[in-house]
This record gives sequence, C-alpha cells and structure tokens, in this order.
Amino acid sequence: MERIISRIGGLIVSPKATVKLLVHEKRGLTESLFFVLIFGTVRWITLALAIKHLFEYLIGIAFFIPIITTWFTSFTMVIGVIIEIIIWALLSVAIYFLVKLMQGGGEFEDTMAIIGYAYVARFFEILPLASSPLYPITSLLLYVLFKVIGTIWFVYIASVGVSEVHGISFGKALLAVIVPLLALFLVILIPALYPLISSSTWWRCGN
Amino acid sequence: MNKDKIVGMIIVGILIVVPIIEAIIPTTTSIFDPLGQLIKIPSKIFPPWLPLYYKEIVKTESKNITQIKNKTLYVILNIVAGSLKIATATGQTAYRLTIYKRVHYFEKSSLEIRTSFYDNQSGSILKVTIVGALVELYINPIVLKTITINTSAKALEVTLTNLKETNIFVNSHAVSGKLELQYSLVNNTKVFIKSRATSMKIHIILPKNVPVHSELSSSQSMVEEDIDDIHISLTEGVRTFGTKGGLLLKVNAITSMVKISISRW
Repeated sequence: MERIISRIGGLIVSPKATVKLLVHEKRGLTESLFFVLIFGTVRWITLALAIKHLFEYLIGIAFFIPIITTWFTSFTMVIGVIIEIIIWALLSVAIYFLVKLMQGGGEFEDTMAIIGYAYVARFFEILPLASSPLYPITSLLLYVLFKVIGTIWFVYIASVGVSEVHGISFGKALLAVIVPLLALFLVILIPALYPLISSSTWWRCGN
Repeated sequence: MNKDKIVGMIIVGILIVVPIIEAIIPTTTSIFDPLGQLIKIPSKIFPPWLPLYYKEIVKTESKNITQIKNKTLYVILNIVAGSLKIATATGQTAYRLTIYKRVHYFEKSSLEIRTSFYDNQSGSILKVTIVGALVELYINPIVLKTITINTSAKALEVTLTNLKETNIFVNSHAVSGKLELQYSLVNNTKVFIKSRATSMKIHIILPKNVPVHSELSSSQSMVEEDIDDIHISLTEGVRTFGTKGGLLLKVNAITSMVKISISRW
C-alpha cells in the first residue's frame, strides 16, 4: 500500500521518473485497474454530489431528499465507473493500434497499464468540487478548468509511458495519445451539440 | 519519508475528504456564489416536462376592483418553507392569487393553505398563510395600501410598479429575496425590512425630489445602500440619515446581506 501511495504522489510530483519506474516494475493490469477504479469512483461520486448541490442552489433547498441523493450518487458512480473502464479499454486499444503503425515494440498489456496509471490526473478535477456546498456554480466552473489541467497531465503521463513502453519518441507517443482523445472528445461533443445545431436557424436555412 | 509518499498521502486524504465534505455540508443558498452571476442559469432553460419543475395548481382566487367595492387593500402573507412571487396586476383585477404545489414523486410534502378575505373599517384585508407551497400573487397598486410579508426559508421575489403610498413590511428568515419597487406617489410611506439569515436585494425607484429617511441597523450583517450618489456600508451598529416626509426606509439585518439601491425617475 505504501508503494502505491508513493506512486500516486510520484505521478504528480515527478511524473517522468515515476512512469519510467512503473514501466520497468511491470506490475500488470491489476494495479492500474485499482487506479482507474479509485480515481474514477471518487471523481463520479464528487461530481454527482456537486450536481446535487447545483440543483439545490438553483431550484431551492432540500430538493434532493436523502434517499434520492443516495440513489443518484450510487447510480452515477456505477454508470461512471463502467464508462471509465470502457474508455480506458477503448483508449488503450486505439493508442496501441496507432503506436503499432509507428513501429512501436511494446505489449498491449503494458500500454493499457500505463493508461490506467494516468488516471491519477483525475485528482485535479476532484479538488475544486470540495467547495460545491458553498459555491456550486464556481466549483463546477473550476472543475472544468481543473479538468483541462488534469487532461494535460493525463496526456503527459500517458505519452511518457507509451514512449517508454514502445521505445518510440515522445512526439510520436504524444500524437498516439492525443488523436484517440480528440476522437473521443468529438464523439461525445457532436451528439451533445446536435440538438442545438439542428434547431438553429442557419442550419435550417442551409437546407 | 520521501516527497512522493507525502504528496501521495495528501492526495489519498483529499480523495477521502472531498466526498465526505460534499455529502455532509448542506447546500448553502444564503452565501453569494462568486461566479453565480456570471452564468446565471435561468430556470427556464430546463424543458417543461422535467419533473423538477412539475407543479400543480392547488388554489386560485381573484377579485376585481368592483368586488372589493373600491376599498383599499391590506395584504398579509405568512409563508413558511415556500416561495413567493408578487407582481403587479393591471386593469380591473384587484388581486389574483395562485398557489402551486410542487410535485415530488418520491417525497411526501406537508402542505397547509389558509386564505381569508374580509372587510373592516379601513378597507379589505387579504390574509394568506401557506406552508410548503409556491405562491404567485398579482396585486393592483391602485388599491394596495399595505402589504406585510412574513416569510421563512426559500425565495421571495417582489416586482411592484406604479405604487401609490403603499407601505411594505417584510420580515424574512433564511430567504433569498429580490424586491423591485417603483413608486409614483410617496408621502410618509414606509418600507420596513427585517431580515435574519437572509440575502436581499432591494431596488426602489422614486419620483424626483422625494425625500428619503433611512434607518439602517446591522448585526453581523452587511447592509449597503446607494442613494443619490451616496454609498453607505454598514456591518455593525445603527445608521440614520436623510430627510423625513417622503419614504421612510427601515432595515434591520441580523446575519444577513441586504443591498439597497434607490434611484429616481
């Protein structure tokens, strides 16, 4: 346990050295799954509670009675963790595929493991949500800002790890990490924006 | 202990503490969210079919000016754990009262409604006592003489225009409120606000040259008043200023935040 705590701290304080250490320790998927589950679960719980506070702030007090809060938090957490694991697997497959196109020499399991360790970057998103009971809107805006920082951190850790695992340059590894992330972002963003786009006047005029 | 381990322990601590803080501390609606104004999400953006906003009318009541025999109207509202919206009625309507119950599918809410309307020597009296409901009241300023609002917990929104010597008394406890009062005639008119654990924003629009006498009292509160390029800020104590004869503004704030702005038209 002490080793895992050290690795968590290391991924924040000295990510490059820690990632190299993790790659050469070859701990397998169990430990990185632990990272995904811990950071994923806490992220979704805190986000669900922050959304609850936002609703109560906007609508009025005591909108969420305890049973609904428990139900809503549990539901969000379970769905969130399932999503995290699916995204972890999909990202790993996509990154591995791209790295292979760049003549990378590492194993899929090591790629997936290092992407799992990168989930430590979720910590940045969790931090501002502590103020959600007092400042729900501000905390969620800060959440978005810290999510950007967290994503940059995630990309950095994953890129260093992929570069180390597959023996390719950092630039190539960065490309292999960013492309699937951008694709994922677009896949999420386009359906979210579709109702807005389809109902806007310019869109209808264009057709 | 090395640096990585210390940071790791801090992070693990944060992972444990943050959800506990969020789960334990209730939403504090009385504190101003610093960025709340920046993206003030209007409740209207939510689709109407969402159960969040589903409310059903439990009572409506209205009278026109001839029904109250052109008498002046005294309104007394006692609202507990409910929201109150007061606005200006036009035409022949003296008042129109609509009471809504918010529908919670998983929650039993206690609802109590008592309304009475009677005449006495000085005029007609409308008395409404509500627990756990949303109240919408439209009043015609032509007949409105005095309105007394006693409210605790939740929201208060008052927008009254063309008021003629109408006295307004608000006694609020744990309320987030907004008052917009536009007077066309002021003569020894009283606006008294007593607030406890409340955040209240008051904007009063008066005719030119109407004197204003303010009595501000603050206890562990922030009371601010802007009038005729004068800015008064009071956190503790009593402050009295202005000229009598026009509007008498009395504010008594206890652990509250009250912001008053007075402008002329």
